[in-house]
Amino acid sequence: MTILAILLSIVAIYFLEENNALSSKLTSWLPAIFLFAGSIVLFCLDYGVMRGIFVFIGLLSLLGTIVTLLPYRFSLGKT
Amino acid sequence: MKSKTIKKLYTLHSWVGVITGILLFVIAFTGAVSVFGRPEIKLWANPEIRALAPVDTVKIEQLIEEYSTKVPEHYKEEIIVFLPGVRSSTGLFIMFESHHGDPIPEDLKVAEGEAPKRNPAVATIFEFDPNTYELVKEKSGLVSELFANSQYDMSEFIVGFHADLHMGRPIGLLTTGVLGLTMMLSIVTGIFIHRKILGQFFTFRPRKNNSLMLNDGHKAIGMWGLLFNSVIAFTGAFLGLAIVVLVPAAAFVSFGGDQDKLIETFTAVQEPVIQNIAQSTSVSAAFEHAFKLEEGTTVDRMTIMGYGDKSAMMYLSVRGGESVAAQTAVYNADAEFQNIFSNFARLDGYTGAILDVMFPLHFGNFGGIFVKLIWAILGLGTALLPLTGLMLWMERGVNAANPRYSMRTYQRFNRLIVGGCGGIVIATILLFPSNVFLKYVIVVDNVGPAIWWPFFGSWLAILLGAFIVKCEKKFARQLVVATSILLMAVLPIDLVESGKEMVANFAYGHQVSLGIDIACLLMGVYLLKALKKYSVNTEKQAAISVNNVIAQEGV
Repeated sequence: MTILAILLSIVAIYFLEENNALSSKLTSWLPAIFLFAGSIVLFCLDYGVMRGIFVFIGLLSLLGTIVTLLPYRFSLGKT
Repeated sequence: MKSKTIKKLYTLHSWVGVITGILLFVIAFTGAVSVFGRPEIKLWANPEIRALAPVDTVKIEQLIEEYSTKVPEHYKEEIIVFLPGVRSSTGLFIMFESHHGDPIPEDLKVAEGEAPKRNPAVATIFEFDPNTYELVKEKSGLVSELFANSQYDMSEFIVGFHADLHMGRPIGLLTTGVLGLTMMLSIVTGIFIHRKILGQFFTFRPRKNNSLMLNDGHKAIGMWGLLFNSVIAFTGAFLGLAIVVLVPAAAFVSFGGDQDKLIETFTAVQEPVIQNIAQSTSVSAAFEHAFKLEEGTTVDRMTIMGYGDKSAMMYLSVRGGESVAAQTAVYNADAEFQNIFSNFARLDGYTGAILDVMFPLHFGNFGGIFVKLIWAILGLGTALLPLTGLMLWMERGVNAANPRYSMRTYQRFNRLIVGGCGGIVIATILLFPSNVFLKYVIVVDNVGPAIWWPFFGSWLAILLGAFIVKCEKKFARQLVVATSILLMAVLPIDLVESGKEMVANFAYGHQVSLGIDIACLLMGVYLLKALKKYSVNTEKQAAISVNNVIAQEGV
């Protein structure tokens, strides 16, 4: 369940990204919100409501940072 | 918001960062390591408790019965059992305590009308081998003295350093508490000064130039970690200031300044009314029930009040399960489960619930190793925030058309950053070999106080070294190499330390220590690889560094 919740969050974050910036399209935001909601529900089912919410907050911070900085990881030394 | 106000907020954001940045890095970095302080690093530092057999609760019950006959009757007022390996004790400890001290002799008793004398609490602690349950040590005396001289190692050292920088109360706690507040201030001002904050969520342009890479990195880590950093800053400020400011203030308002009375009112367990009807206390059955309360729960200790009486009560400290906060499970003398509550459950409304989650939210110990990993990585991100901020401030200062300070000043500040931040990283990782060296080579009785020397010694040496070397940039690279080597050395050191037992422990289900070894090895290899690629990149870029400017000016 945790793995599925993580996958949902990753997909949601990718929905929000558009040309290295936060998307402003409703068609990106709506699926992202649904996916985030699904991820929270899964975490709450796995960890309990309170713990699930805090785990989601932590994971969102981590995944967002990684998704933003990860392209750099692959471009290191390629300049 | 007016641009003038934003400019003021920017100045405030910059100066708060410049003044507290290095200390914030120190606290955040050691905090990220402290997440694994107990029990992971504790287990790594003490191979003898890595693969303990399940606790023999029947044996513990027998030991309590046996040793309760060896202490004075009034010492049985409260009995505390600390289980081995779970939190900070390496052995099994059974403590017999008298809250009211030894009885006052008749000739010293006060006259009628005078305030009764109250002796300080006394106790006898028996330490048993966690495997054989044989008596190892026995100590008696004042409770305050018994705990003041307790043994500790690198795990308590690093957690303690993160909490109060080993400066004690009130200075240390006040410092870390105020740092939490300044972090909150930086977060709030950061939100206001980055007006296009939403649009820049995914922006990271590392290939353009150094300044842009730092700027985007600072924003990306700061924005994505906004909620996490807010939680850490708030809980950190609370944990730092609670004991030195909030508790005295609340006691002054409501309890006439009596802080002990205030803490007792809200946290202490109720003492049972002794019926003087002899009945054995079912310690083993209570333990066994508590172990199975919820999936994933651990029991740290048991407190028994009124031992051997029909009215006896047992209070077990339980962590894990569905609850974020630590809880207390209550059992009667027959080991019948009564109820379970969190520490501050007696406070009305949401106050108790908020106070209960402060500690677990700060240290991330509420959801197993998965949550701890998230908290540790994000903690490193929190440490990178002030570092990238400081570097950005330096870059902008050096590259400005009219720099506010001389190049020499910028260089000195750069050296302070390299020495202060690089030094704490090396000093922290040096704790691993130092702990092994002190425990197995020099064989010191108490590793904790001895570990101060390599920790603070190496930090000071690197700090001084940063001011002596010709080029601090080169020195920083050397520090990264040294960090990598130290990280990669953790696995071989553990192999030498635990030898064949490492394989046996792994087969027995203990993967924590090997996990630490492999994680350190991978981080060491990654750091070396990243440094190599970063050096190639930066050499190609014509970034203006402080050293280049000074060299060009011929200062």
